[in-house]
Amino acid sequence: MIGCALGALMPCITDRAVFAKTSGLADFLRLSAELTGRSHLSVESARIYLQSLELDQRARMRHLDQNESDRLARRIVADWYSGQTVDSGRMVCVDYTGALMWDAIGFARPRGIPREGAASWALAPIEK
Amino acid sequence: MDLHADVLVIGSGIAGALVAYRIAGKGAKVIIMEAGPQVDRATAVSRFQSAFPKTPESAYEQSEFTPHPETDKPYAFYAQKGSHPFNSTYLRQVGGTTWHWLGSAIRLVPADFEMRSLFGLGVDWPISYADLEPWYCQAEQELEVAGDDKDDLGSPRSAPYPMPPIAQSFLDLAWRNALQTSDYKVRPTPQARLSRPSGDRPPCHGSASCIPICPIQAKYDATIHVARAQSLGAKLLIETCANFVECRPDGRVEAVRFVRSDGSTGRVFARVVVIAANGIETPRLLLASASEAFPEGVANRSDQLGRNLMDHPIQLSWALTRQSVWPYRGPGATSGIENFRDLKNRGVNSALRFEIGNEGWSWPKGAPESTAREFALSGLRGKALDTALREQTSRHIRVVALTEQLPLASNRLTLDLTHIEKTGLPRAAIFYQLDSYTDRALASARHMHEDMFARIGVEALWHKDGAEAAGHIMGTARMGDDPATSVVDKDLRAHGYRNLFLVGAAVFPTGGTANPTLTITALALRASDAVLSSLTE
Repeated sequence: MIGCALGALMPCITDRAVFAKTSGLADFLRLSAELTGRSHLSVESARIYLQSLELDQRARMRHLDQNESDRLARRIVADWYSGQTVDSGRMVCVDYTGALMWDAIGFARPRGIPREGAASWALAPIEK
Repeated sequence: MDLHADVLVIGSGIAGALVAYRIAGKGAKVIIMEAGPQVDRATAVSRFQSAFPKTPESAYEQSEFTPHPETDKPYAFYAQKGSHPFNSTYLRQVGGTTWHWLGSAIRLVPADFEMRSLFGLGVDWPISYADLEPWYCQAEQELEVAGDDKDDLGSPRSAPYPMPPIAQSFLDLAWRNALQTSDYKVRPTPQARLSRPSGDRPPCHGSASCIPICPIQAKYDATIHVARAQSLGAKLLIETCANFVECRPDGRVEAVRFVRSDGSTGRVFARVVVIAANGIETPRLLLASASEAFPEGVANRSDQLGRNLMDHPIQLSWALTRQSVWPYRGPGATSGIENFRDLKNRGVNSALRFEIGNEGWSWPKGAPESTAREFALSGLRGKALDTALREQTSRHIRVVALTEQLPLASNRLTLDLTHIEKTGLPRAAIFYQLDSYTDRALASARHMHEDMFARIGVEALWHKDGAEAAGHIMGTARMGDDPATSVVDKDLRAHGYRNLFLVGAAVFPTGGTANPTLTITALALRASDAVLSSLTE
């Protein structure tokens, strides 16, 4: 299923002129939702992750084998979870507070956002 | 443009802000000259959250006019000349480096003032702990330090803390319980962050971003006293960098030249000049003020200006516990181990201060983002990824040991005259190396960290190779009784310069293992009295 979705995405990734189109972005968002299991994903972040993948993969995308497909899927999940991606060989922050890891971790919140209740850090977190 | 004042304070960090506040409160006309810009807190929080990597400086825009050093670029700002890059950083902006300090407000211990007499190392301070103790009390009042009166941590106290203690984290209590029967005594750290509301500032809400910025100013920063000084009539000049101290041949400072970010220039004529520009910028300005009458720079007849540069070289270690301890919550650190700061064998082995971090593996690994990437790239997905991420990050711990670095004349700041900043100041050149005393301290700390981790129960542990910088820049304008071997006297007046005072950690003769800010504050308050007295001379 995901392999098919990746296959459908490839024309969008290999051609910058194409991936910029709404249809490419929509495909990427659908694929991202499938890979991450999350339905509410930032369109702006998706645009950046997609562009980053294109830059990274441009030379090799046209003949995507299973290993590359799997690697690409992992990379997409890593970007969404960390809120980071690779831009021209450098790690960059794309969406710190919106990174999917925060929901997964549950007990911690992005730094720089006051918690509810002073001294809550003295207690074990309340289980969801 | 010429300006006139009773007192010119150069630098608006914690030392300058406190002096300006005290002096302005006595009715003197004060000018605070700050090289950098004002900072908007909300903008800085947003900048930090968008940054990679999330370094202590990442919340703050680099200024083309007054750039600051950055942790991840050790060769960009300083001209590194030694075997070990000096990587302690600071900020050039209103409020100075208190924007990104941790907030730990710890006193030195009495023996720290007598390293030469007691252990045959370094030098003694010209004042004792007892001399400074009343000023520590005042410093704690000004910074509204939250602490536990039941434990003086080896530094006898004559007054209670102004605020009740900040709650120790769940993680701290796990450390405390695991180490209870050992020699490692886990204690709540005195902190300059509010444990209850004060004025228009709220108590700490555990935003977990003390370094680099508290989003709600529950953590003290020097903008508080800059604003108070202004309310008392002090005039704040921003983006105005002092670049030359003019002295008469008799050693009296006549004026200070400045340049502004718009290129305009001028001079301030003041009866007294207080330089509070930190351990790099203070000697940098004075060395850059060399003239025919003062070829070695201002306040440098001893040739000690810029020398004896010290930090608290850090051993950083981290581990994966067996049980969840729930890090990444609360202030950056709420506990430490203080009972290795005052040992009897400091002639051989460095004192150590252990700081327990609440921020998991953020410092060594850039976690939790790096953990999320690692797990996702390994192929985990969906519920398995979520579970693994929560389960592992709940067990991230780290500890650091701050070691005492001895003053070495060879560890020094000089000027790189081949690179002149837009302010007209030459680049700071640093020769820095670690000696065997520090090497032994780091090795000892690694061993002790392993011992602690074994008692806590960990699956794996790691040590950072080499020393991390603490950001505690000390020693470059040392205090002493002898003008031949020190830069300032015990009142922080420059030897031979009646109307020039230097405040800040630059004046520390030795560094102990306490985070230096509370001592900087106490010394600045003490010096304020001498500054006021000098106005009547």
